[in-house]
Amino acid sequence: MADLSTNIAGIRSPNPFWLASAPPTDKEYNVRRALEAGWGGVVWKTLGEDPPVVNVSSRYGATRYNGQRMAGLNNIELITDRPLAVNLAEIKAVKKDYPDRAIIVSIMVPCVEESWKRILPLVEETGADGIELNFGCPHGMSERNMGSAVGQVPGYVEMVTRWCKQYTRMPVIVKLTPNITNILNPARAALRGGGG
Amino acid sequence: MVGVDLDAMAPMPVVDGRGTHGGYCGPAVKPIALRMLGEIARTPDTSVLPISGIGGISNWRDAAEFLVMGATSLQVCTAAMHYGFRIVEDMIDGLSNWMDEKGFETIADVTGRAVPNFVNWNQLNLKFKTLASIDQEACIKCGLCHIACEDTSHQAISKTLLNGERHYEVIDEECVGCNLCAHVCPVDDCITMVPQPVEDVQTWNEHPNNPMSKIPAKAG
Ligand SMILES: Cc1cc2nc3c(=O)[nH]c(=O)nc-3n(C[C@H](O)[C@H](O)[C@H](O)COP(=O)(O)O)c2cc1C
Ligand SMILES: Cc1cc2nc3c(=O)[nH]c(=O)nc-3n(C[C@H](O)[C@H](O)[C@H](O)COP(=O)(O)O)c2cc1C
Ligand code: SF4
Ligand code: SF4
Repeated sequence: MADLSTNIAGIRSPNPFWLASAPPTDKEYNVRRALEAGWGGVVWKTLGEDPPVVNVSSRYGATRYNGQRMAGLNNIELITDRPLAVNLAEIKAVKKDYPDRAIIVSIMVPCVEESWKRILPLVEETGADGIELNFGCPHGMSERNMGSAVGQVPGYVEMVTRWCKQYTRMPVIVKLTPNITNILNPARAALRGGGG
Repeated sequence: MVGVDLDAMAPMPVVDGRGTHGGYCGPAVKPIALRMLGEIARTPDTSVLPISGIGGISNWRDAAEFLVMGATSLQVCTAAMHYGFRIVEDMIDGLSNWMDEKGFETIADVTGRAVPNFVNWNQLNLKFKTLASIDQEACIKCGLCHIACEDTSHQAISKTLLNGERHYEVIDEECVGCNLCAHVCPVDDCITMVPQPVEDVQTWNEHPNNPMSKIPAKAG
């Protein structure tokens, strides 16, 4: 039997399948059942600063093609709409019960050093295995100069990545936006920000 | 934008009469994600970055493709939202069986296997040729391949009557190996593309038609 365990930047998981940061990972209730089902890890639904964002009703559009439902899924949901402390407490509880799984916390706060400096120790305190920087969200948050608005500017990618390397020991995953002409530019920025 | 509601006259999903652009995901974005992944994995300076692959991963085969194109871990959203958490069982079983079949013992054995073969167009062998071949037993005589090749490719599938039945045959000399007929044929494995023996390697870099190549083109 093949060994499916993996180690990415020091984050270990029993198999390479992680649930991406989104509704499947937005609360303890979901995440526990996902881990029971066998997922190797989860990237928790993106955390932000309080007060939490507000989401709209009517959230998903789908491309249906020749009988194939959800060949593409389009969403206009934002990041977590629950208070930071609630998410942090749940992450801590889950990590404690699933030490062998990869619990990664997705974060999106303004491009201000103070904001990152404030949230990183709180996340680290949960015992999470790593963080993911949400530089991808293309709607709503980008209008607030976060998400893809950061991911599209290599200088910002590098700057925030560097802050994260500076203010936490946790491994840092930079989630790149595909809404860009050349993916190598933000990838190189992430590499530089990470000290490479 | 997945569509416009033609009654509300607004992008979908419609929120009280208006819509906005959103984040697009699921099987439709897989080709884009794979290309971005491969680009980072094959470029020397960024190839040192460990990659968590994401975008449209829906089954073990997609997972294997992302791994061989450079991923070390995989992230899934839409497939779980469509089929529930237990879809991971099939992904794990499928990937594990495939690795056993191929003799791969660890994820590290798999990661990046296909990256050296992801090259620029000018590194492809122009001497390589593949030809369409129709399995006459499987063919249901629908004619789609003929129409596709006749109207929009190289007029390389003939339509004749054989014993009172429609008959479709590939004209080898005309076929450029574009694969269109194999994609349009509604019967699985009915049209296969048969790679021809390769005698030589000549890329665009070495081709006489290339003004930048060292070998001069023959006049006429
Ligand atoms: C409803 C929904 C909400 C999402 N919310 C987030 C989010 O809060 N943070 C984030 O980084 N990505 C978010 N995503 C993006 C997913 O994490 C993932 O990148 C994307 O869906 C592509 O993967 P897939 O093709 O497997 O769905 C969201 C996706 C969906 C469908
Ligand atoms: C096989 C193939 C060859 C193409 N060659 C060209 C080309 O030479 N010049 C061009 O402007 N677009 C070319 N295109 C792009 C098409 O003109 C068109 O922009 C594209 O297929 C999108 O339209 P569709 O979704 O209806 O196919 C080509 C497309 C295909 C599939
Ligand atoms: S591969 Fe292309 S050229 Fe050859 S028969 Fe099929 S459609 Fe025609
Ligand atoms: S498309 Fe396939 S089934 Fe239809 S005529 Fe061509 S070979 Fe036969």
